[in-house]
Amino acid sequence: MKRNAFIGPLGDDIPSIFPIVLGVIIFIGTILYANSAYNARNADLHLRKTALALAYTATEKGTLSIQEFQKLCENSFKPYAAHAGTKFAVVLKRHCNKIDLFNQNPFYSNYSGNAGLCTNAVFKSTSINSTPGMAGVSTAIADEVKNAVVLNYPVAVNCPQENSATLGLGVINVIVWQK
Amino acid sequence: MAIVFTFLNTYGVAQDNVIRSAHTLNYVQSVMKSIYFIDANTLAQADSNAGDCNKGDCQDERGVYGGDMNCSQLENWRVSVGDVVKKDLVDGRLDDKFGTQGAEAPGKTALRCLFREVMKPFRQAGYHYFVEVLEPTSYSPLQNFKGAGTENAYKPEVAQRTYPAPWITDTGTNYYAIHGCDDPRINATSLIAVSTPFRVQPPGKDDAACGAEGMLEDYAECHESGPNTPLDYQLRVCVWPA
Repeated sequence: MKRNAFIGPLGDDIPSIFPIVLGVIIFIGTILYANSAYNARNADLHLRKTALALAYTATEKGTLSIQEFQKLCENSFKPYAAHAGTKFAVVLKRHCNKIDLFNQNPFYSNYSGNAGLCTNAVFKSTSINSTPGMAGVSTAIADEVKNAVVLNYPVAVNCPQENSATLGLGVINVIVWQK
Repeated sequence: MAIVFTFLNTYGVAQDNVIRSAHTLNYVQSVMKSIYFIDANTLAQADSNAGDCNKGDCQDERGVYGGDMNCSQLENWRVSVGDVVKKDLVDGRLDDKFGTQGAEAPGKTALRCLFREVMKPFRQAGYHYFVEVLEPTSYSPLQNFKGAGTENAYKPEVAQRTYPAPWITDTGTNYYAIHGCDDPRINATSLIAVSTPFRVQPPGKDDAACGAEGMLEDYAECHESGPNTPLDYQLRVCVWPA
């Protein structure tokens, strides 16, 4: 018997293959999208948990001298961030009379020689941690620090100098971002 | 696919809320610690007209306290804010005075000035805050502020009479007729309140304050013998989105 136009069991039903393939593509695309969204959410939660853990350590006492801060930096902050696989910067700032947050560079420590800065990041632009204000440095920060979590906390610091007996207003900035 | 998108929509939301709450709690704990460490005299320049509330990016205390918070009067108080507040509260009232004779003890001012500074990150992030001292004996929860008889609704005038006073941000009826973290006008679904014990030792029986009539509130009376019972105040801070 002659079977005109018969091109096989699949070929004979080519039109119905298109919606099937489309459905498979949409399904796989959904799974891929879900996977990437899931990973992104997990990464964000991981960053924020790391920032919170560093902040707990930094604010534990309520007051910090620069020596205590540097000890914490070496013994707690750096090992924890290394274990968590994130980059971080913890910055101790001395304000004393008034806390000034407006347009301030969160990476800049006003302790001499950047003694109040603890980080495991090597910045390509040196202005990131040497410029007090955000003017002229915001682009560099945006280039090198992406999707950062920033937490600020008040802390008591020696005022007006490190060896002063008086304790005044200070701020700790905890900044965490992905490697 | 509906299951996948539903999962994505809800995944991490609870964790996110927990982390936000943990941050707020840690922040408020840091603030409370600062009360005990920061010296009051360092707050002398922190004032509502200090000019560092830029372009409406923070809660303007002038609307609550008026033009001047009088932080400059803290200039000679070289003790911690906590010590000044305790000296103020020992007579049972947070009114910047010890006793009724007007001896200066600017605990209320010190708390206001401190919180103006340390709450700046939250203010600039668009949050409001409220600080109050709960008296050891007279705290009444919100459900007690109801009218008599069949009326069972919240009554502001009852709350004003009943609610523990004084207030850190009290300015009479100008802005906040009713104060407190229990104020129903606050968006309570997103309010976080943290209370911390604030224990104050009342005056000893030989203290001059014990002899003066009306010097102390009833619950702050001196004990005749034995160790004094501490006054168990609570400092309560609440934070909510503006």
